[in-house]
Amino acid sequence: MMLLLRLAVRNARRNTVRTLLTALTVTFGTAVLTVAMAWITGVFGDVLGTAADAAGHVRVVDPDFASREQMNPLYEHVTGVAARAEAIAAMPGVSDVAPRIMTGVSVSVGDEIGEVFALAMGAPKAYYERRMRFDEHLVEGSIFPGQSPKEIVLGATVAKRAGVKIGDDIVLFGQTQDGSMSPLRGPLVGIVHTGTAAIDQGAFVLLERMMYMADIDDAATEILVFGEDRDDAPALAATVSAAPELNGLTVQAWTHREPWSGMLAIADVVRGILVAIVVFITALGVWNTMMMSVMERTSEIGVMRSMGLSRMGAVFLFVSEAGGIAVLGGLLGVAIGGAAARYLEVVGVTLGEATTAQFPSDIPMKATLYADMRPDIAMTAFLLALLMAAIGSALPSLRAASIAPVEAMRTGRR
Amino acid sequence: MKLTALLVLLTSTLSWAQTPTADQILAKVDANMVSETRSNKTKMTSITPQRTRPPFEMAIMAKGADVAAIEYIAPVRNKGTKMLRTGTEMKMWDPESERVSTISGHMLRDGMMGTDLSYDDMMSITTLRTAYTSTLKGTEPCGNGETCYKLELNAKTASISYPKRVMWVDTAHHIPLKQELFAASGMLLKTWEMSQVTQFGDRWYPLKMVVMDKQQQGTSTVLEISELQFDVPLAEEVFSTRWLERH
Amino acid sequence: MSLVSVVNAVKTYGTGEAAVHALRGVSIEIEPAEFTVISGPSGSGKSTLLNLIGCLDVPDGGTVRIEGRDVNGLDGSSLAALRAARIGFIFQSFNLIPVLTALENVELALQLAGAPAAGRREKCAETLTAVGLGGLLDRRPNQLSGGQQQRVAVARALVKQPALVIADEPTANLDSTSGTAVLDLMRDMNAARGVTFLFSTHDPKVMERARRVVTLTDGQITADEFRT
Repeated sequence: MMLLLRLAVRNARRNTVRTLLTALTVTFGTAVLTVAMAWITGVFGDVLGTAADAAGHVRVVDPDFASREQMNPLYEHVTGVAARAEAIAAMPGVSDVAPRIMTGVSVSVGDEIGEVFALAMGAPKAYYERRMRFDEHLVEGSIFPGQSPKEIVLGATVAKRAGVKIGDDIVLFGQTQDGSMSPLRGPLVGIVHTGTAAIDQGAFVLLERMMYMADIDDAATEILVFGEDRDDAPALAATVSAAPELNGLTVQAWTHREPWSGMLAIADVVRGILVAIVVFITALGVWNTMMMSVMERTSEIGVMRSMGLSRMGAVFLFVSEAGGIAVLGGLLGVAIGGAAARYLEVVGVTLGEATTAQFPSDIPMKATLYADMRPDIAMTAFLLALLMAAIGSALPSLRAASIAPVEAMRTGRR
Repeated sequence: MKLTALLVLLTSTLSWAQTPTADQILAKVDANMVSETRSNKTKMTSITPQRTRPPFEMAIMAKGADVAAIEYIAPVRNKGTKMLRTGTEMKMWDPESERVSTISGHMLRDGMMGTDLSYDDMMSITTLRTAYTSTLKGTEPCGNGETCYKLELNAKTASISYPKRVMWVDTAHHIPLKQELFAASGMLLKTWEMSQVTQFGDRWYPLKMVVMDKQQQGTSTVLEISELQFDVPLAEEVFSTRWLERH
Repeated sequence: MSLVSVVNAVKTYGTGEAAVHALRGVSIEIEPAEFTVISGPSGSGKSTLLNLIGCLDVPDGGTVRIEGRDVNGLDGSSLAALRAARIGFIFQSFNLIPVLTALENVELALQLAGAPAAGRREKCAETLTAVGLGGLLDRRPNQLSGGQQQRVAVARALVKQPALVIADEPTANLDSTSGTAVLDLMRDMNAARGVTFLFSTHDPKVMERARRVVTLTDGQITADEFRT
């Protein structure tokens, strides 16, 4: 076996130009894959990460709320929220619990209602600080300093459209759970700018105020639960849903909720298609050069076959040659692709807010997108390089295996 | 032969004299429903499949077809809220925001406080004879054993809330005991029933109304009217912004 | 028992009018330690007969037995194993593996025959020394003359101690001196080790040295002459 391997290595060095060509094909394919996977992971991961942080790793809602979420029905709420939140907070793996209410409002300073719309949110202060990271996005004022329980924080887009400034008394016109007109007045204490359209178009108050607006006492439409890592959400959901306090309620990990479950699926499909295309094209390149080698070495294979080389031996000879080339090409590809991906990770690509504002409000798209170059991507890309070689060398190897021993006799005759 | 012809002529003339035209019926409906001024208390109960809400109680003062002032008395949450409708504009003062806000345009056709009635339904009265052309479609039994004229009304202008109405007007008092209100597309928007028809001087008026918004599932809103007075003098000040802000 | 026993072998390439009847019923027995030449003009069927005897191909009719085993019933891998263990080949154009050294070329044959790794290299070196290439073990084929290459090929064929060595025009690509030397080498090996050699050739030098010359014409044996 060692001798055959040595033979494969030496065969690879026989036609350096061709071998280099094959290796560079693999390099190119691997580099493209590395960058693309880092990009997809970065963009989707960023969007999904923001989403999971804002929407809860696990969410507890009334089943009727879950089924009619687009209507945002305030009357389909979870009652006894304080006690339930306390019970959840005591469960293993839970690091944070935040009851939340969201509803559409119009924002006004003057006496005209109905000009500036905002997505109003009511949640505990800790949620705004730890999960929405408002302190990082604060442009002006402060986050619920606590001088009044009626304080309001606005997203930058809303604040600009409504023409309000810190200290203004503003009114959010919303509705009660019954659809009754329900204004909420309070001083504007802070303006946040996240670059995420959905949040910049938001209006934020403390949970109790939102309960008042919706006319629901000790209730919220959602209870958001957070663990240490958003990737552990499904396990956390299983823990939380087992609690007797939550009987009859819907408990879902963010990965199982729309639109993110759909986006995760799309990300997988996009990645899958991309990988398939690149692997196929690269394999085609490998196939081409390997096929040339097999044709050229027909008599040589015949000689070895006449000496007793088995069909598997012939396959081994070419697969290991292609494999060796792929290892080198793949490593180089991962290095080049990794460097490019790293650049995209640090510098990013700026879309601008005009573009991101066009995304649906529940997809928090950022104005600048970054790649995420992770070690497992390099590993995957490298393994895919080997796959390219395996697919590309499959047919040539089978072709080599089909060379009859008698070919040894046919060549070189005068 | 001559006698028969005479009889036929006579009876047909008589029946013509007994059956008023659609326009005449509408005129009598308008005479009942539209007044110079009106003041009353109204208890408004909204019933939804999800829950029964505490009823709203309000004092209403109205002048002509499209000027009205409402002050909420109950529930506690809404007590003190005032709404003033003048023409196509509506202003509101509420104890939470403590300021006068203008409610405009399409919002006037939204459900008032989440009920089956719109602000338009509650605070403006359409003079039917002016707004619609009508056709009499015969008589049908209706209400509690009354006989009603069945009228089909088509709006003269497109901008009206309900471009088409079918109404059953009782022959005795000329109150539309039942109405079906349609969109221009022919889609049924609401049904509106009136009962407890009571005499006030020379007019009749229903003290109970049930409105069902057919765009929502299984909801209905009941209006119970009390302390109803017509053509009483109302202070001009009631219909001003100053009244809204006074509390 | 004969080393090789061919009975009434028939081989036809193609079908219908284009059919080429390479062998039309050939029977031949080859005994151990023979030094036999199969001669005949081009297209007489000598290559086909060599392929059958070398287990590179199987007959359409008749039987081929190697050491008593009927090759007709063997599948590809059994034939490969049989070739690897019992038959050595020497080709007209040497057919060494160009990227392997002389030593490695010989070793490859031994490895394919399934010989254990221990002592393999030494055995190959010995064999190469025996064919007169003791100082050239690490040379690649392109660093060797034609005669030297063919000597490597002989070593490669002999190293696994086969029952039979088939040599297809082994001197055709060599100059006269080298050809004679290689031929003498094979003759010596035949004498010293008792290895059976079967040649196909036109080369009179080869036929001079042969102990038996079988002549094929149009796919049939027309002469079978033993010499002393």
